[in-house]
Amino acid sequence: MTDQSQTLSAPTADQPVKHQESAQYVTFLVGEKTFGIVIVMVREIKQWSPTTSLPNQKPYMRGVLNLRGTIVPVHDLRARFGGPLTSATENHVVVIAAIKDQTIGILVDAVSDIVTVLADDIRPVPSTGGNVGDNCISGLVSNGDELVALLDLESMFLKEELTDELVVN
Amino acid sequence: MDDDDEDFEALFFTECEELLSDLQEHLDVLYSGNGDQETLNAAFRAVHSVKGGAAAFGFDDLISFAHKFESVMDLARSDELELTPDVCQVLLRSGDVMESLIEKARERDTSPSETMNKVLAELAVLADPNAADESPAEEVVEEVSATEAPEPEVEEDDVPALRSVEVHFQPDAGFFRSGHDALKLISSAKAMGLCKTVVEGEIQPLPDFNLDDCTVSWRLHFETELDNAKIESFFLAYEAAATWDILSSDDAEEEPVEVAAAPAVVEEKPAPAAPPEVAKPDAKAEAPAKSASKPSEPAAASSKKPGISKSLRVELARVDRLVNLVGEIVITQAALAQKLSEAGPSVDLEVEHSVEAMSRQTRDLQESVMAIRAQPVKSVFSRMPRVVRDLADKLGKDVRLELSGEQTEVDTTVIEELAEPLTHMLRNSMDHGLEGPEERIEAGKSGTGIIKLAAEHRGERVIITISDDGRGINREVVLRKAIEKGLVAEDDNLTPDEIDQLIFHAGFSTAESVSSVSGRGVGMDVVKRKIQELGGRCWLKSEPGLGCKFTIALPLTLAVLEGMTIAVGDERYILPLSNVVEALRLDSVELHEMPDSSKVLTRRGEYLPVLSIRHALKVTGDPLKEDLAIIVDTESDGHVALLIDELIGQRQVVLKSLEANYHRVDGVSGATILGDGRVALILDIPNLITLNNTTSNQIAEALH
Amino acid sequence: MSRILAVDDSKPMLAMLSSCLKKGGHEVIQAVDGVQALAQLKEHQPDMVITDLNMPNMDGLEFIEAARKDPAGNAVPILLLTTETAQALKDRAREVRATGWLTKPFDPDQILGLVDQLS
Repeated sequence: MTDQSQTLSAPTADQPVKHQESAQYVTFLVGEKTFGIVIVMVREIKQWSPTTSLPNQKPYMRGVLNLRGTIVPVHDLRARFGGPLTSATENHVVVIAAIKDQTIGILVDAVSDIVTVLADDIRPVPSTGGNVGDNCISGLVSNGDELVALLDLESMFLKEELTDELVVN
Repeated sequence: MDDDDEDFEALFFTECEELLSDLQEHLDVLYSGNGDQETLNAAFRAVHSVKGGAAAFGFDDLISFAHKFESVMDLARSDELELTPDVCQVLLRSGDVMESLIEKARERDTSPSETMNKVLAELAVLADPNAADESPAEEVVEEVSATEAPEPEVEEDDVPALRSVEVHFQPDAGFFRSGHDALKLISSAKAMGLCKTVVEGEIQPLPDFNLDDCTVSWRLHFETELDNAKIESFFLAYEAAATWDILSSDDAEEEPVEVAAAPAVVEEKPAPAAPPEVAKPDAKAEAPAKSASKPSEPAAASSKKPGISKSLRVELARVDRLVNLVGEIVITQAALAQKLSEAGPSVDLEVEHSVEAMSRQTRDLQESVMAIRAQPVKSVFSRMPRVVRDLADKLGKDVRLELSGEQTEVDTTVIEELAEPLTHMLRNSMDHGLEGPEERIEAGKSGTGIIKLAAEHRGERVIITISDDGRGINREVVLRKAIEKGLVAEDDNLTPDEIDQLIFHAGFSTAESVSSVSGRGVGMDVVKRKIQELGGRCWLKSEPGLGCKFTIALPLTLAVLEGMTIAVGDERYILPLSNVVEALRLDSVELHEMPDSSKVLTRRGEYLPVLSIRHALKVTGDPLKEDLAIIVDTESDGHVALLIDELIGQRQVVLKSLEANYHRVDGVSGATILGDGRVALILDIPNLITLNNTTSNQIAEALH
Repeated sequence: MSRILAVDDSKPMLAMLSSCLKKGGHEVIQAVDGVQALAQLKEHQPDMVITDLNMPNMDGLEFIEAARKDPAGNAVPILLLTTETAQALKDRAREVRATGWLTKPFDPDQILGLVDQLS
């Protein structure tokens, strides 16, 4: 704890060093992959519990859960990136994030760490040509020997325009 | 402090919306010739209040314009100017300009406005008919902003005045032991305008001083610009260790203070001991209709100063919090009742009765809370005359808008959502429905078209109708377009009514050329979708040559719903009780299989299409039971039988939105939280049936 | 500027709270449960404590109760920051002499305002 309290204390007044832009990310695991969400968007982290499924949605939409009276949709990150549905157990984790005025849940395998990322260390995503993840990853950053894909939650989850057809009776 | 300024500004703009709506209404009355001195006074005060608020924030254009506007009205008040229809037109236009100036102020847009200059010139003529020739618009503007804006009257009139507030603060015995520091409290309060502190109670002599037993209380005297809400929130920090009373707040009488500071919470109106009728003409006294309830009984708390309000102005967020809380209580109560019924006969009879009583009281509580949020549809209706006037000008049509049932009350959640669809429908009626004056006269009608906008309660719904006396729907054109667009086949043999309903179809627009009015692809489909999102239905009736009538049926509230809980597989769903006709055991009725393997059910000689919820919602898990049918009534498809596995019970549920965090889901109107904390979806039965309509159409065909 | 002890067993929450407090120019000391918080309290003598309620080892209420018996903690403002809203818990908080009660998710401005007002 002591070492952390040092890194976290505010710069003292006589040392007004202009820090490089940095942000903290919560990182978590899906299989072998590591993803990161900027910490200010993370509201809380919950153990998986069964959701109420919604009819006729994309497979990665795992249904909704009750978060203290609010209905929150839960997205399966593994399936979102083209993998199979996660067979969720009590050991799985739902990251509750706030995107603008929306609250969403993201089903992942486990939360791993909190890392501080300097803006200069973020590398752009090499284009892989039409991959699902293309505009969902805002950048890559290495943390030790693992590569963390930073999620762009806004482009991933923000309210899609209503496209459902309305049929006239 | 900046943040506070922004808060106040937001309040100012909210206030402006109300004032503008009042102004509009009063001016409309004056224009119609039914106004009196009091109407004029009320209109004047609305403009004056806007000016006052604008001065507090330094919106110069708005100040100077409002000032000119006000001076012209003042002339009318002193009978120096006659309120002819032409004069009223200028006033109405001035109201429109003021609205756009407020909008610009909100967006920090300081670009000059041509319309403003034009209307300013018109006002200048009214103010001084002789000046007409020699005053080009530009000069008028200059004169106004140079000489009148910084006018001292504006200053002293409109700078937020300090209010005296006294707070009686009673620390709990353990106050000092809970991490609170009296000195810190006093120094923090000073930043809020604390200017005098009186200690009451017995100050213990030092030798006996006991931190665990705080025996004193304080009277804290503030001279502050802050409203009671801010003061209240300051003291909330001491909630765990003290109680307090905000004792007096002699609001300064100027309206601007309210504009700048008050609307957040409980506003104590400086109403002298006068009957409500006298107080009412005050433009502000009418405004609370938007946020609060009808005036209640005179407050019994007569220990307070005279002039305590009969109505409260409450921030909507506070009411919402209350509604949510009551919602939670309903859920908890349901859970309790469920636990009790599971416990079986071992439960003490008295406990059971108490729980029943509580259930009733909870429901009453909920109804009372919902009543607070109810407001007359007038608040949206009153915006419509302007929409019509603007458009009538653009289209070169003469239109009279007749409103009725404006006092019909609807939950505020519904009201907010109504403006947009209503505007669309009015535009549609004016653009497509009403003919131009010549065409009308040729058809033997009066040159002025009439649109009626009406609201009324019918059961648990509010019905809003928009009817015009125009040409009605041109079925030939509609059908041709629909066939062109591939919406229907040529041999579909639609009934006239079915053709009419096509205009609600997505992407359908009957305007031959896309007009600037209702074209642009925003059509009646958007209206229909919006209404459906609100849990409502809409339809139309058209009589060629005579006119067209749109009807919207909406739930009175979007917050609670009487529902039937059912089970399909492992899932629980809620059916709105308003749809349910009856529940049948399948062993008591006959099921017939159709050639396409769909089913129909015979009930009292009637064939009903059957819809399996499991199939429609693709529910998995649990073996198929489906031995129960719920007969539901729909406006579009008549009676339909829904197959389910189990009927769990009937209860009031609190509607939660899926759209807040996700988006609309077909066949589902929302969700609720059950007693056990699980989420259950509320089914949108008409939508669900429509989704499966192909099947039911085939059934219908097979039956005929 | 104050020295504030932030206590929460959820690392993301703790980091969020700390980053908010640091933005307000405060020095932050962290702890992940009541036991650790008590140790930090004695060692660092913070001007204020903001603690979660549900934590392993020693929860927020137990921590406050213990802190109030310690010279380092008997007068320091201690705010509970929690998702709980039950009145019974609030009553209990009052009993153990918590300074105040804040509901998650927190509003950074509100927290900073309270820090200024109370510490």
